[in-house]
Amino acid sequence: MQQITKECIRSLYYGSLFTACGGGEYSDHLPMSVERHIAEHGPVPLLSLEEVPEHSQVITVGIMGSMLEASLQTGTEGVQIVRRLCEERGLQVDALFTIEASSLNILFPILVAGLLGVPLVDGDCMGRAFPEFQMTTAQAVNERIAPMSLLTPGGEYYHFEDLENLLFEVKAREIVSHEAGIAYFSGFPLDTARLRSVLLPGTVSFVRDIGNCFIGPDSYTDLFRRIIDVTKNSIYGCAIELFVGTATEIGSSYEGGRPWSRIVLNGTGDYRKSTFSLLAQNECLIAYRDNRIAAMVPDLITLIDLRTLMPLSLSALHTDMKIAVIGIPAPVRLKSKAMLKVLGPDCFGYSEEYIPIEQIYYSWYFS
Amino acid sequence: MEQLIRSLQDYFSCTLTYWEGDPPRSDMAGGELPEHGDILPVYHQGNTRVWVAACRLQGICTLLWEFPGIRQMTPHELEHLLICSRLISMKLAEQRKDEEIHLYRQLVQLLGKRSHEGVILLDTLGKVVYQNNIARSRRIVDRYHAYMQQSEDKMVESKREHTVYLEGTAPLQLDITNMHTGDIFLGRVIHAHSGSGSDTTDIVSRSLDGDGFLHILGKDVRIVKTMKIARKAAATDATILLRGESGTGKEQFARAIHGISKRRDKPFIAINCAAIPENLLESELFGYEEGSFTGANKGGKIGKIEAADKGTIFLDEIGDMPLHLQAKLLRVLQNREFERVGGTKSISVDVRFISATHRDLHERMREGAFRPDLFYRLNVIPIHIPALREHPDDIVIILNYYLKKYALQTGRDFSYFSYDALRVLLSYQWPGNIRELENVVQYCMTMSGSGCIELEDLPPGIVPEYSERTGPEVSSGEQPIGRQRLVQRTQGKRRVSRSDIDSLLEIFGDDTEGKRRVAEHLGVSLATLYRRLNRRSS
Repeated sequence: MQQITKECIRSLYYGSLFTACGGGEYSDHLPMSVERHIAEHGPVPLLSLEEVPEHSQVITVGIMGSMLEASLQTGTEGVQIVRRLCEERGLQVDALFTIEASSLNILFPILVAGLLGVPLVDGDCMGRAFPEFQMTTAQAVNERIAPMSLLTPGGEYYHFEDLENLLFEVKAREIVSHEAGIAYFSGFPLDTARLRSVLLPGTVSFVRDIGNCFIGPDSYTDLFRRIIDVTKNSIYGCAIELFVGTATEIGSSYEGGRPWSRIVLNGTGDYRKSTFSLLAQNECLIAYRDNRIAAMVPDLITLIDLRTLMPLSLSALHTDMKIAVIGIPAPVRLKSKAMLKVLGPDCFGYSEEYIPIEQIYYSWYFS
Repeated sequence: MEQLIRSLQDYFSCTLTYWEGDPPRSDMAGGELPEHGDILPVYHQGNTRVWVAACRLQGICTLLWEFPGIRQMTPHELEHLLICSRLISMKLAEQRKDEEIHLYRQLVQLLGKRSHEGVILLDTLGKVVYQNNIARSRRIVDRYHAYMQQSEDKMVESKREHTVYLEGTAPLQLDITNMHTGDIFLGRVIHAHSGSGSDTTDIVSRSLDGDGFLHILGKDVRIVKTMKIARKAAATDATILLRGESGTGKEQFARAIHGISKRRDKPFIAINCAAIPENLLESELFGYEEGSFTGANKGGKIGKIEAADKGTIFLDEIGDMPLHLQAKLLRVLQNREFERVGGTKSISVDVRFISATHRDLHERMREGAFRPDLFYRLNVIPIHIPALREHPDDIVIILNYYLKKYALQTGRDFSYFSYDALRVLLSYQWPGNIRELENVVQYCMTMSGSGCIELEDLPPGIVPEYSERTGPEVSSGEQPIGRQRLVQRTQGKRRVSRSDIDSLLEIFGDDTEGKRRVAEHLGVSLATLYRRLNRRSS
């Protein structure tokens, strides 16, 4: 069994920013809180799907809404909502799992697991960042995530016993927008068998391993080689450098009922004759090089700040920054027909059909 | 078409029939209908003469109106009927043509899908009518158009067949065939080969491109260590002996070593010593001079070793090389020179040797089937490639790789393994190693009807012969689980279900020895097992 030790937290934090695909928020507070807790109370066990004992009861916990607000949390709110949910429904929690293996929704469940004294499961329902609750592996296998509870920072508690996933998303967003911009959620109780059929395995340890690449690389080339070593030996697939350039335009528009950010990069070095565009909604979803598709959701399109050699969030991006755009294939399950209906490009209002990154760069992957 | 016929029948108040080929009735103009249509009298209904309009257009179809009763038709009506007759014949001919085109199109798509190279069909304006997945993924059309824009060879368009070589990091050979009917240009077929099988996209991480080790998967300490040794060996010119079971990827290692060596821009020549008949192997390896044996090519032929000059030769299955050739090979290794079969002149070569075998060469030497002096020449840097079962943690990674590869190659939707199917694959011993795993993935993707590959989609040889229904996740279903899984699941467990105990007894046997092994397996005493069995039966 693996352990989430104090030394892992920095890696998990960097990795969670990387799998946030341009979403996510920087926070020193939450990683430090987790480190402090582990230093005082010991590591949090990380159970692989096989290691989860038969007949266990496992639930998720996390934060939705503004990650800037969320980054200031201490974990006690998570403990509160898990305990209340369990008391009201007579649940016993044997372990927690993350619904989204990215951003603060990895560190927060670790902190809550530590405070509750239960293990965390090494797996999640998204394998990266996605903005909505129905964009999960659960949706693709017709699992409802309800019963699910929400707790607002003001202490308001909401429980949804049986609700379709999209409706839960809508109701939860309504509550978040009327409250302080965030809410804590907990629920989606799964027994061991259902847990194993729903979760993507090994995603928490993948985030840790990818984050580890960002600790002390000699150079961007060294960093990229490390990322390749981790990604090629994972359920994701080998990373590929999509572009290196300078941000020249950052704009936004409202199209198809959705808010899009558009980032334009001018190439440098080998890419100097090219331009690159990113279309994003919280996360980077579509990438073009010279007006040709370079990568599409659900494949991961993620950014590295070449000055700091750190994962870059779109919220911190400004013109003149030099960045590298890295593509990582999504796990094969996220590319299945059922999953593409849940999180393919058209789920974000983008009408083009999904082209797998391995198809665009076929020889890089399969020569 | 049916609607048209109905309208005509209503308009002329007649019955309309049509057919293809010869007329079904012999009294219809003697079975010979005019090519461009005519008004013909036919006799039926008791020698009553009936006027019909009929035609056989382009030899494809014929049609006929039969009028009930006797009626004198005006010349104008007859003329009108004839025009309609022709119209329907033409429509039918078009319909048949469309079906034929559809059939051809499906054939092209099928062949394109099965091709390992890019296939593109362009219309007269250069627009893509069809391209297969490989052409699409390698963006061959874009490269072709870019070439055509820059090309000064304007004759390209008028030549019937020609070949274009596209340079760059991903060289491509395009065989282009212009299609005509008579003098009319119809379109163009492009058949793209990437001679080296290397990259055909310009967007790659260039500094790492060509590093074959990138495509060797595995994070297990054994495989990582093997790669480290191979990388170090690649930096030298030393002879390498790769050892490992069949299907472990020895050639992939050899190619990776060559790909990062100083010889990477020179040839990599592979030859399987076990696959070539003994009497041909010598000439394949060393080449031959003209007239050296019956059937020898005029002018002779260079051998693989000579072809690999300045590069690398990979001698696969070296353990199967006949003894008499081993001596000749030894001389090449020692002196870097040899003679062609039937030749007297010594030929010098500068070749790096990488050999591989799945055989135990020490055993072969003891048997006298392999020369010790050759062994020591080949075994300068021995590299052992572990069998897949020795690094089981890498199985999932490799399975995922091939799931993606075959989905893209075959144009199928992506599939993934269910948890239960994956558990069985992880506990399987993989005697055929990665090659077997590749085949299993192909089998499963073919058998699986949905995106999720379940236990029942696995090949029969993979799922253990024992079948049991138990455990919370399968208790209500009908899915079999494997013996190995049951054994693993119950190992050391103090509380197991009654059905699990029954199942274990079936595996280990119902006699005392079997019960002793079940008790040992469960980590309980024999007495405890008997107590549980008694409790169950009472």
